[in-house]
Amino acid sequence: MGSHSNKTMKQSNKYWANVRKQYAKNKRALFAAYIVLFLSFIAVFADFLANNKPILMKYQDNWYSPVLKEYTVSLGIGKWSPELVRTDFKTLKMDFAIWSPIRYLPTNPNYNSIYVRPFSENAGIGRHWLGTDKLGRDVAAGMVHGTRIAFSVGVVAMGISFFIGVFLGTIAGYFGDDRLKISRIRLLLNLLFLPLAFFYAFMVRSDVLGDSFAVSLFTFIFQFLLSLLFFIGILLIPNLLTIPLKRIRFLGKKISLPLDIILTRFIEVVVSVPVLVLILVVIAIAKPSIYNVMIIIGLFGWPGIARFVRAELMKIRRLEYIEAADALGFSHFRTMFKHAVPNALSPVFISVAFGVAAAILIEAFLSFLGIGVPSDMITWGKLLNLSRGNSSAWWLAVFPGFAIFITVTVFNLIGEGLTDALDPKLRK
Amino acid sequence: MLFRYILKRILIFIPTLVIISLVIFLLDKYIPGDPVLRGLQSEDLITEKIYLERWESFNLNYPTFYFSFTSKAYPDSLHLIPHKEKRTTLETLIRQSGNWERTQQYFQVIQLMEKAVDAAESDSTNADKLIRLRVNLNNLYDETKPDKIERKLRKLNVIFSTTLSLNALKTPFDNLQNAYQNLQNDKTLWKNYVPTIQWHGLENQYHIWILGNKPWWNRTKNIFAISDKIASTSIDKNTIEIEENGYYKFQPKFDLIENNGRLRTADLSNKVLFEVSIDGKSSSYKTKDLENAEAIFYAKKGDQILIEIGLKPLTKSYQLTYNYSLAATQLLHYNPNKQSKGFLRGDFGKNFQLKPVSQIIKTGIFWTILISTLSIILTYLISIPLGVYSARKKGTRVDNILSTFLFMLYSLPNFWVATLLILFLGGYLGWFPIFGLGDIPEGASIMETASIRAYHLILPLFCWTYPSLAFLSRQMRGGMLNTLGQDFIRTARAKGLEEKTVIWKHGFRNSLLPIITLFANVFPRMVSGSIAVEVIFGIPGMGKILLDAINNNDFPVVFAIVMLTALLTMVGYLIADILYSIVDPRIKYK
Repeated sequence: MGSHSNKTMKQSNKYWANVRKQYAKNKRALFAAYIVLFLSFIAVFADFLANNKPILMKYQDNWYSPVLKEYTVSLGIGKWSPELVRTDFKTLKMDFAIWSPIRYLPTNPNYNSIYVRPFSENAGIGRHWLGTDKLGRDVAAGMVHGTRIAFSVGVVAMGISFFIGVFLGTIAGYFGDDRLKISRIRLLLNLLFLPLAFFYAFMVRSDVLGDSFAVSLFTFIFQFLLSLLFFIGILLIPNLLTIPLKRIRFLGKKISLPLDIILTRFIEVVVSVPVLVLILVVIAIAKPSIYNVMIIIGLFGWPGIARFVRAELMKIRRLEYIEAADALGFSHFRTMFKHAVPNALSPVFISVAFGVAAAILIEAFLSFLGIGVPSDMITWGKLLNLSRGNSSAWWLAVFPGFAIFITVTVFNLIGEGLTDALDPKLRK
Repeated sequence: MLFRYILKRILIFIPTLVIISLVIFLLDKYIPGDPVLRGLQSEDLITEKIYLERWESFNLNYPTFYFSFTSKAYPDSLHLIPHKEKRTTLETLIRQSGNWERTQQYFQVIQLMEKAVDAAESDSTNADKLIRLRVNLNNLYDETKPDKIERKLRKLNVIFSTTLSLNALKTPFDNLQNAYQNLQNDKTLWKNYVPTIQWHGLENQYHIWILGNKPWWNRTKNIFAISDKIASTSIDKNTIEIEENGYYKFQPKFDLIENNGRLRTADLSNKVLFEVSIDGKSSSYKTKDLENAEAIFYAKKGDQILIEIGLKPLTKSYQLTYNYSLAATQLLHYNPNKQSKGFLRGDFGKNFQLKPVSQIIKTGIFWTILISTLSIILTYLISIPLGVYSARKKGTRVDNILSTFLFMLYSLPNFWVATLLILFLGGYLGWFPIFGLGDIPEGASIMETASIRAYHLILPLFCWTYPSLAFLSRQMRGGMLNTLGQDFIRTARAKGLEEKTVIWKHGFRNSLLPIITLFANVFPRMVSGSIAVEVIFGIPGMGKILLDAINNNDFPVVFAIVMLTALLTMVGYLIADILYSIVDPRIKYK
């Protein structure tokens, strides 16, 4: 067994090495990958690249790292020493300090330097490399922190889409329309008990759940899990009842669940919905929060992934090793997610790359329209929108827009490169 | 075979539409806040009368859906209570007691007491007490916690014991205390644990929204024309002579005690019976509740209508405490205008200013259709030759440059391009107007108007067109490359056919699919517009209307546009699928 798995490991390594080789042949895509790496670096280290606090400083013979300290403080672990609470670090007399390249936070207004042009010298400390906006906020700092927001929206939204898409696509592709068989009685009883379980677990307890939310999030989660437990408990009843009732031949007759048809229809519904319009509406209803934006974009982005996985699994489920797994008596679940899915994932990455580009574009568009993103958060789209207030402030239009363009382009290029690298038909 | 495929495709279309409409309907229902007050800037100006009018205009006086799934403790008529907060309080009280009868009585007694307080004469000794009474009573509508309600009642008790001049209000207050005691004593909590499904019938909000409650086939036009004439006929006598043929709606109004305030009771036991006889033929009507008493009948000119009204015996608790008086009864001309025609017949309901949504949308649809039609024509004219050309020159320098250029164009966000164009070509160089569609001077000729409009439309049209142009060119190139690599093209060339014939007759026809796909997207884009372009250039099309509606919390408009877009998206896919099957006979009609 050990040597066998080693062998498959080697084979899969070989496969990926091949893909990597093919991908590297595409110079544009390779270049795009490097840019993504660079942008991810900016996104991760945004706090070190643009901050109004020094990265490292020596003050009254003590060494501090205010940027790192801020992380611990916001996590509730650390505390500012009394003389540093609410200090403006720029006016502090320090013996030694390493500052960020951009000495501003994107949200700090400075009314003495509004609409500063890019690259111009200014009297205070720290240049405004890319100028400032109507409140004197530094554009370069906004760009750096905007990178983080754009990337996290892209990654989280696509993460959500990935899980939904892979899960639904796997189930539909693996079971198809005829492989998941359950007895008539089990289906009937489950359908009957589903509303009942919902009634007793959630509707009857709606006041308890609502009140617990007012107490604390923790109690709410506890009560919610309790409700979930009720739900599962009640659903156990029909499944236990099935065991004796199955013996009756008429009731025990197996019927197959058309999971594939259900998913295809479902995808058709989701695709018919004008996604951008619906996202606009949902985000307008929900409270402005970047997490809502991520979640909602993610909830609508999965159909492409599901289609890919479904198609792959339909091929894979006919392969011998899946039959072998079946013959060995592995559970469907184990066969699906442990053996079939890992081999179906490679084409999904194409969809994910394009999806990240789309998600970043949607987030930029939403914040450009001023919908969904909280007012105290600076994003690329918001900076771009600020340019509409002053037609001479060209830097507000050019730099953020360029950032959006480059990011969307490189992810699209990666998607194209992956398509070429993974599709053997195109290899010549 | 093809016909069967199309039929099947249309049949699939219906459930998809139902599901999408349900999702949109649910979204609408789950928006926090009172739907009656949505979009209004200040709620102070809304009197009870206006509130009820709005409530009815939005069809909120109907049940939400065909059925409801609740516990046995709930009545089937909660939707008849207009105020959302009151409804929420009632629901909580029902869940706490399990007894709808008692909960209802408690609430009605609060209302009665409120009316008594309003009617009480205030003088210098009790003016502030009356205000405190009113505030405390009003708070009771929101209060669900027993200890808090008891505290409020004790407070009221203190007010009564210290102010002798308020003795007239003592009886309603005692009733209130009794009703609360009854509510606490007669709990039937077991009802909370019995699930029930209640059937509400076709007259529900969802059904009215989609299909309307106006009959689809009848002679309503005739009635509409003569509406005002009879509306003024008030009847003290019970016999009315009909002056014109038509449908009539008889609506008796029942008011509680002498007061003019309208009581909306959800109590099923207060059924009203009345009979309408036309020329000796009588039919009796029964109503669900006091407010919705009505009879709709057809009468000819000269008919003698005799109307008799009687109330069914009231429930005990009512008879003990209150009397109903029959206020003015009137014969209204039945006005079918009040009924909704439903979404599918082009009636999108009313927006927060009570304007018909369809009118609002109509103003925007012209510009959107104009620009998208122009844009589509341009896209096809440019991108098809471009894609084919690029595919023919595959691997050459021209193709490489063209592909890179198209790829860049494809990735350029059009809201950025639009902003840049406005900034540089509009603001900096001043070559183009940057906002709106231009003012037309009075007496301008058609040519002048057209040229002003065209001048204003150049930049928006460019921003609208280039993304789909880039997309289609790339698709066209891909599709063409795929086709040109096939054996039949080689055969055609080997046959010695002209290159032109090979490309356009054999190659092109087989790479039509991307063109059809883009065509499928025309419809949804017409409706939702290219939001960015319209907003940035200030074009009053659908996209701008949508965004303005979102910013104004004007949800009837928002959901109408979403629904319309979804509907047209599906129609687009339907047409595309049918076109696919016509163009490419290999697609199986499964």
